[in-house]
Amino acid sequence: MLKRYAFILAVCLGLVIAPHTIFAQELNTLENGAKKEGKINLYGSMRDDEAKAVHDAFEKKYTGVKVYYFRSSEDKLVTKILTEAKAKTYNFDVLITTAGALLKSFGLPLKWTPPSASGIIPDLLDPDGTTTPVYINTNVIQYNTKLVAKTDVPKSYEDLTNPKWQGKLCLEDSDFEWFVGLQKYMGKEKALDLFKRIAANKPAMRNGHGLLSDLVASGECPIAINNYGNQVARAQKKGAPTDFVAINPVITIVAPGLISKNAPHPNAAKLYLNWFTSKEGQEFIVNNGGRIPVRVDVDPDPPRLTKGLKLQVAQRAEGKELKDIQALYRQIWQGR
Amino acid sequence: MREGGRAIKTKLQIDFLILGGVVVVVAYLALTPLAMLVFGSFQKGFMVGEGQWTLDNYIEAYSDPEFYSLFLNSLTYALGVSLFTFLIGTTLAWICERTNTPGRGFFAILAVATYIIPGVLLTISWILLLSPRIGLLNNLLTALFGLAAPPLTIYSYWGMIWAASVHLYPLNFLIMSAAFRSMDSSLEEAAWAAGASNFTCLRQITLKVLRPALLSTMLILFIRGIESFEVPALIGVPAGIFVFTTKIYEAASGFPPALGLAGANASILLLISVVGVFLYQKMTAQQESFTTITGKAFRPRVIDLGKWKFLLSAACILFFILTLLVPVLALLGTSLSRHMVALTPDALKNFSLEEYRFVLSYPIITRAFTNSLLLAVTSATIVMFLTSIIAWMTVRTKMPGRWLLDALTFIPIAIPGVIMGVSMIFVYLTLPIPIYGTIWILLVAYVTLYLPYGIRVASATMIQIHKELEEASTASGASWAQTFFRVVLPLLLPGFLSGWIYVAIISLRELSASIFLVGQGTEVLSTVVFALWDAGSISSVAALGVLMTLFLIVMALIVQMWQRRLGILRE
Repeated sequence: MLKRYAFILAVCLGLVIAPHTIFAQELNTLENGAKKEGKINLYGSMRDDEAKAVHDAFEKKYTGVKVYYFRSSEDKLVTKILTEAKAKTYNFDVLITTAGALLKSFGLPLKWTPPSASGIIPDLLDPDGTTTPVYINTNVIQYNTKLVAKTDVPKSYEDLTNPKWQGKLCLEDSDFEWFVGLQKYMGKEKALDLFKRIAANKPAMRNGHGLLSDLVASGECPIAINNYGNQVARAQKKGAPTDFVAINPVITIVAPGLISKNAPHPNAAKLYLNWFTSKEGQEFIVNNGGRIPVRVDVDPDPPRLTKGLKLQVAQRAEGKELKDIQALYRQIWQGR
Repeated sequence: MREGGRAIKTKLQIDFLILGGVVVVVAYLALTPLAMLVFGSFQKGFMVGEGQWTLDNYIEAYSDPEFYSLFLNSLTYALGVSLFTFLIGTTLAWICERTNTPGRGFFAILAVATYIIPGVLLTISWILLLSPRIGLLNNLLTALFGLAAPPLTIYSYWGMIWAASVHLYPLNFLIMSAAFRSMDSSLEEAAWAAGASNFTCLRQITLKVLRPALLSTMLILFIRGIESFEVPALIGVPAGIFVFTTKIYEAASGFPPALGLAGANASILLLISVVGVFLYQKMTAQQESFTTITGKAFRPRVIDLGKWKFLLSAACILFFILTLLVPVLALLGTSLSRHMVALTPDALKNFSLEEYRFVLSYPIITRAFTNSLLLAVTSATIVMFLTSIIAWMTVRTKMPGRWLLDALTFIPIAIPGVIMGVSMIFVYLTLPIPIYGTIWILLVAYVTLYLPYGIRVASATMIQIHKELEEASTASGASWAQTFFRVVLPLLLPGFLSGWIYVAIISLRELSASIFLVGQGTEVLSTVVFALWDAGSISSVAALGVLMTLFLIVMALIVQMWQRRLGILRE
């Protein structure tokens, strides 16, 4: 019996240590290459003030590699990269944004999995291994704790159809995954009917989840029909009076990180993506900006962002399908 | 002898090269964006897939029922802005130029100061002031009158028109001030002599004499309204009021990028502004002939308003407190809070300088600052250099086709910034000139956009300089280049400088073209402000805004002192 345990222990240890030495070698090569390259061009959607701290941490760990950041919202970033590719200017090394996978059909990302990906929740991994999950966004209801009384806090989307919320709701103008995810779960007809009844309360439409979160926190909009859980967590860290309600199943968006096939600084790019998905990197983004981690060994803060919830990973639509979804979304929420 | 002949020949060749070169550059700048925009709008799969000729973009644009609402919205908004701007600017110009209202000199400076602040910042501060629930003004009004619901909202036509007008009126103020200054007042004198009151005289005589100026100003304001981007993007989109500029932005920056569709929508906007500019030019041409006949060598009489002058003065002070001081204070208040808050006494307790620390230590912002400054200086220099040479050709020579040259330089005034942005993408994704994604593409866009402003100043100055000094130079055997750079340009200097300053200031504020063209490392201040707002970093926007406003005001003061020392007249 003891022998068997010893054997299993040995196998486990072997599994744990052996890859580590290989990883360590690979990392070493990457680090040396990255230092020669000296910089990394990072495109992403993380807010500047949140991102700055992340870059500082990376630069501190890998001195000699400077992060050059370009921030825009997800669609605009993908469009930007496509335009640059058309102009044959290959500038970006790493892209981190929820729309990143759209670039796959244009053959622009490099197929590469960082060593640290072994610690990522398997369900979140890209089936073809091109992109690497870096954080997740959960779709939740956000509200202002000063303006919404405890007894009034919505317990379901149905509660948002109550006329007392007339003019007090807001919504981001491109939450397509959530929009489609709920339709899949409830059935299209039922979901659209629900949306229409919520839309009767005339939600204000805004662009950007960070902006939406700030609007809720400031009291401009008492309730956001949908926002990202990490945005709420981040606002809470800054002391803003806001909280969230997660309704099962929670539509979850996996934000992929990817490396450009034509990256001018390929080693630095790999080093960055590996660090970002490592235990250290994930813990940093949790503490720094309330991001929801993708690793099995890192918990979100507060843990109830994911603990005990049924997460339903959303699929991203493309091409004609996306166009139709966009049109329907506009028609229902903006009446245009 | 033969030696001398060869020297003259090479001199002539250099002259020809310079002049010809300038013509080619200007023609290239003015025509390629338009040509490529038209080309792109007839292309399918310009970005995605194989390119082929098609009418699909036009069919999609014009068959969309939204197209007609865009048309209506654009028209309503532009009309509202032009009327309201006109009202504010003309009243203020009349007060400052024609009455003895105390403090009028100071009011004129404040009006110009308003113009210097970037539109994207003022728009944001109006959002902070007039948001339904947390807007400072709304909260004040609700508290003062015990209202149940906030009385005002920025997210409406009225909000858009207000925010745009209180930023655009200085343009109208400057034009109308000049008109009031140079008008012939003999008819007014006659009316007063006949016993008319001040008001009757204003209504019956002054406004009628100025009618051509009034109409053409309205037209230019209308064009500026229809081209404007900041207010429609920041206020119109959340309010569900879409206009052409925001639709073009949406089409070109969404995924997949529908540049062809953006081009098709741009063509109608372009048509509107071309017609507008054409009408404007026709009107001002008539107006000039009108004023030269009646121009007299005295200043129009200043009207004594009696007791009313104090009331008017108070009204002006109130106006500037509301439109300049309060917005800047709102930015200041927000910049000191960690996140967007209702500016109540409670919020004061949590004030901190954290956002300033972030803004000043963030590399993107310092980089954008350098880029903006660099672009302002170089684009102003290039614009004034090119237009001075063009002005020399159109004013001094009897060259055939010089009117065409003048027209070429003026074409870009009809190109709205968003269209310039989209066209630049078309041009530099098609031509084998690899400047997309670099700072050069921004420079090309700025130079093109501001050629018309440069040419106006340059020709006006050129007309004032007498030919004899040039002739003396040429007679002494100087080449054209020598004459131009050593005689003409120094004489032009005062005009050159004031044109330079104007172009530099408007370059610093440019947003609508830049937003399509900036890339990593080439961000400019206005796009950084827009991006920070987009991401919801509102306190950072406010902190950056306060710093930018301070910087621009200090710059303006330095320029003013410097101009006074050089004795340059106000334009």
